[in-house]
Amino acid sequence: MDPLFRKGGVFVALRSVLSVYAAILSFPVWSDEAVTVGSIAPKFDFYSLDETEKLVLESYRGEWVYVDFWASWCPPCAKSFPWMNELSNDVDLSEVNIVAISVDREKKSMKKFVERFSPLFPVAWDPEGKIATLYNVPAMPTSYLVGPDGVVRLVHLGFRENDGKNLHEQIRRIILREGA
Amino acid sequence: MIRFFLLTLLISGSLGCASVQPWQRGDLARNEMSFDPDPQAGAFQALVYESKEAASGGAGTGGGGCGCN
Repeated sequence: MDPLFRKGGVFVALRSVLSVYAAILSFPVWSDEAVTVGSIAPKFDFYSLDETEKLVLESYRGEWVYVDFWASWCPPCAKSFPWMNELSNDVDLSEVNIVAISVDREKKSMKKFVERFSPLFPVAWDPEGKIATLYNVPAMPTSYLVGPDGVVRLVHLGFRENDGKNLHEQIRRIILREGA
Repeated sequence: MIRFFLLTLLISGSLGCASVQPWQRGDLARNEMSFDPDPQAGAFQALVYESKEAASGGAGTGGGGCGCN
């Protein structure tokens, strides 16, 4: 008889198989490669929505940049857009540039969302998730405040109802502390 | 034979596992992908069920959706 049948061998083998499945499924999304506070923000370039202008993250060097990853299918992103419009209107934080990167696969959905919120900041389209992969974005939405030296100062995951006020204050405090 | 079967099961099962990154969850966020694609009909069914059973709760499950927040 096959030794696996003896002494509950089958159950031991099945348990091993299930353990391997559990290990694969529990692999953390937030890996070591994720961009965190203190990391150098990965460089990327993108075209404006009308595809007439090429923008480069590096061109914001020396300025503060708020990089936001969003998608039209993500309900919290719809809450963050009006807030980002407020942020871009804040005269005290006029030195903060906002770049919103859509990870939508369909351009139509992305454009519809953009038309709904009329953002006052540049929007990039990343249908294949190339920029999102560079940042190893851990949640939707995720935003990064990048300092004038290109180092990430703040990472914010998700966007809940009351996040806006606190986040605005956090950004203001960081910029006041470090200077524009 | 059993070893071969278990090995096949392990390999085929492992091939079926894929981690979906947060930015790739557009399809998972669709209504038809949720456990309850029609929340209104679901609420009505739950009401009828609870009336018949004289008990409520314990029917929900986590999971599905875009995983936002």
